[in-house]
Amino acid sequence: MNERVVLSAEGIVKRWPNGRVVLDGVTLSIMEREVVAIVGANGCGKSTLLSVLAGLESVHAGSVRLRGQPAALPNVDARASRQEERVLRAHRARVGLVFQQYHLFPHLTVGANCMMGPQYGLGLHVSEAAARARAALLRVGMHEAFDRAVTELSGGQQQRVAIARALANTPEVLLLDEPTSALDPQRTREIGALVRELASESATTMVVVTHDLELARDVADRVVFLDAGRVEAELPTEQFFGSQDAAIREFLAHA
Amino acid sequence: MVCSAIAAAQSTLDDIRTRGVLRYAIDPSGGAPFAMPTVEEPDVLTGFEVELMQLIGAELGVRVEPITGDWLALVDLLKSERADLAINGFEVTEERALEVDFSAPYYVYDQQPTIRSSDRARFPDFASTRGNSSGTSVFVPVATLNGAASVDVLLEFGWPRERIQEYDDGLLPYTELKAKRVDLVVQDSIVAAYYAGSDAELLNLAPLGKQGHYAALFRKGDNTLREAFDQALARLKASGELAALYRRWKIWTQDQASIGIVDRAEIVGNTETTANADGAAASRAFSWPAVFWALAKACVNTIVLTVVAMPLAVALGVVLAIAMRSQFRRIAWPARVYVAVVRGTPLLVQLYLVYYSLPALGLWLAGHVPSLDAIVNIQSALTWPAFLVAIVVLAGNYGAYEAEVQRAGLDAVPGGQRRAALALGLSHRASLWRIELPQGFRTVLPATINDLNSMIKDSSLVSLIAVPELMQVALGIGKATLMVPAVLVAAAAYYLVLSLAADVFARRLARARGLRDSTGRFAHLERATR
Ligand SMILES: Nc1ncnc2c1ncn2[C@@H]1O[C@H](COP(=O)(O)OP(=O)(O)OP(=O)(O)O)[C@@H](O)[C@H]1O
Ligand SMILES: [Mg+2]
Repeated sequence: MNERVVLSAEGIVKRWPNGRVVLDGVTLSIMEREVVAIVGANGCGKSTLLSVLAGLESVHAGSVRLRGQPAALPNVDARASRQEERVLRAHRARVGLVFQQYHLFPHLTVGANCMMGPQYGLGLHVSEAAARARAALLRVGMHEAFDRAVTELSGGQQQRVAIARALANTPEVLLLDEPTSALDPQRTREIGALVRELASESATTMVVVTHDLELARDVADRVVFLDAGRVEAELPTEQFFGSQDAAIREFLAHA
Repeated sequence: MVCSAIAAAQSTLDDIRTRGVLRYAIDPSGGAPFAMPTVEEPDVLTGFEVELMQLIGAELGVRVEPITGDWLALVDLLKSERADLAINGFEVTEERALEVDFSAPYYVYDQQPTIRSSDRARFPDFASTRGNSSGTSVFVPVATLNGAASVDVLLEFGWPRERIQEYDDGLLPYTELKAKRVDLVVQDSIVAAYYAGSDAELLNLAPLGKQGHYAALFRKGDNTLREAFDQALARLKASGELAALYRRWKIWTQDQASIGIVDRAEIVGNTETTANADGAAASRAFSWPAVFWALAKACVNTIVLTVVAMPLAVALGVVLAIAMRSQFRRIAWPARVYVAVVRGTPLLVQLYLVYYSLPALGLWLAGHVPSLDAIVNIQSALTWPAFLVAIVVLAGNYGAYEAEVQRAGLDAVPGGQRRAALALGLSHRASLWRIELPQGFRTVLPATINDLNSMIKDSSLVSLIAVPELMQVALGIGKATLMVPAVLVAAAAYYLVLSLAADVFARRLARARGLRDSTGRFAHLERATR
């Protein structure tokens, strides 16, 4: 495995305005072409961690780097300078995040959803943006829906479009938040297959947050176990599922 | 620049001669026989004062142009130099003399009491409306024109204020009399002759012998213009032309001789019998096709006003909504204050202030900041045409309402939308314009359509300033033809049609779906959720 670090977080601390600590010193590195699964109980901070990695959250301490470059995460009590804003925007455009609730743009067509990032995030020409959008939709098998309204699509189709929208930016790393949680068993299998396919494509670096341990076992090279905002364990997949650690055993038993 | 300084030093009369146009302030909705829109061509006025001004213009060798506005605002039109003089049944009073200069009188009126014909036995004369034969005071409820000399006369005769009902136009008091809301109307004889004289239900009692004069109004100290006007008027009085004009409008009385009007009816020929020359009769001629056509033409102004002002209002509303949501107080507060003030004050007052105060502000600035006046003639720069003022004020007023609407729209967009846009690398601005606003706009489209509808109707308020729109023309024609209710119903039908058309248009807009076209552009409105 190539040991070059694509995305890393160091000592991330984040509290909600109500004082609750959600991330309590998280340090993590994602290597090139690596697929990492993040698992943990409900509410342990998985989604928040992905948001931090994608550059969407302000933090109290710590830093996130993409290929060694700091992402200029906003500090909670200071306003970002223009320069910092620009660095942060570039970071966001190069990290693809697929939300747990998709957050597709309901007023736009499928194609327009996927063109947003290339056109206004990367600043590409419309024709180039359209080409990227088509290519991304092709990868998730939704290229025929280019001109349809996203509100007409089923949940599974919406998840595919959400993934394509993130892929259209050709991100260095793709962050997937519970890609199968909102779907019925049939759709879960289909999306699971898609995630496996994306993972097997040699160039994809991916972080998958999931409750689906089978999926984690299939796609992940490494598993990160998060508990109450802290990284409790970080093990190669085989070792994680065979671990004798009491906390891990208990988590695996209940999941 | 230099020439503007010279022009300022010149008298109004010189300005008028240079321009070739004398502008007079007059209210066409105030009613016959003074001034009113013609049914055939609502922009063209008729009435005895309109014709008098044409004669004056001919004497002075200039064209005359009516500047129309609400009667109570005519003095402001004069003061703000939007008009050179005002002429519209202004009685010569001491209070007015403090504000303006009067021309020589051009008409002598008396105060004319009017009762219902059926009350003939109850009120044989004016005295019986004040007290009965046994000496007890009665003081029947009386209606009259707002701000007219008749109010002072009634007070003089002992009427308590609360028994005097004042109306904004000369016709309404008679309508109220017929509806038995009042038992007496006291108004200038000329108004009484026109409205009550031809109505069998109404009876004019003997005039009260409280003669007064009508005169034109000039800005204080504008003497050269006033004197030129007076000389022209004197020639018309002496030649018999003025008397002929008054006979044609059926307002000639023997009293007129007291201000030097020479009657040469015998010499000129009996004009009264010539049907064509009967201005009063002509203005009362009524035909539905002509009225509908006149209203349709007036509709154009209403439509243009709305079509231009509403998009501006929405644009302003969006900008204000964004500003109000800003985390910077220096941006949010001015926007909030603007919205609060504009929503909290009547549109009518805003129109009035902008229209009449801007030129005054220009005059003040020109006097106090001469360096600015050297660059541009401030006063004329600030003397916006009425139509522009109407659009700006309507847009500014509705912009405040739209600000709240659009803010609600933005608030309704789920936070995840913004996060998703930012996650793709969009700037805050791109997220706002490409993602949040289009969705917010779609959510509040029904409220915006509502605003569009009320603007169509509120545009009638701009007749306060000189914009002849549907309502002003309808009232003017209605009063001239003594058919106010019928013409108002016709106008209402037009408003209804306009409002329904606006609904249909807006619904189409809502259905339009944002598909990319061949060039790759895409609209951001998508098929309404079914
Ligand atoms: N804006 C917020 N303010 C306060 N608390 C929040 C906020 N957003 C999330 N939380 C809380 O922070 C905790 C972590 O949330 P997060 O969404 O990261 O958990 P998660 O591990 O993704 O959970 P799940 O498995 O349910 O998706 C949760 O308890 C959640 O209720
Ligand atoms: Mg989550």
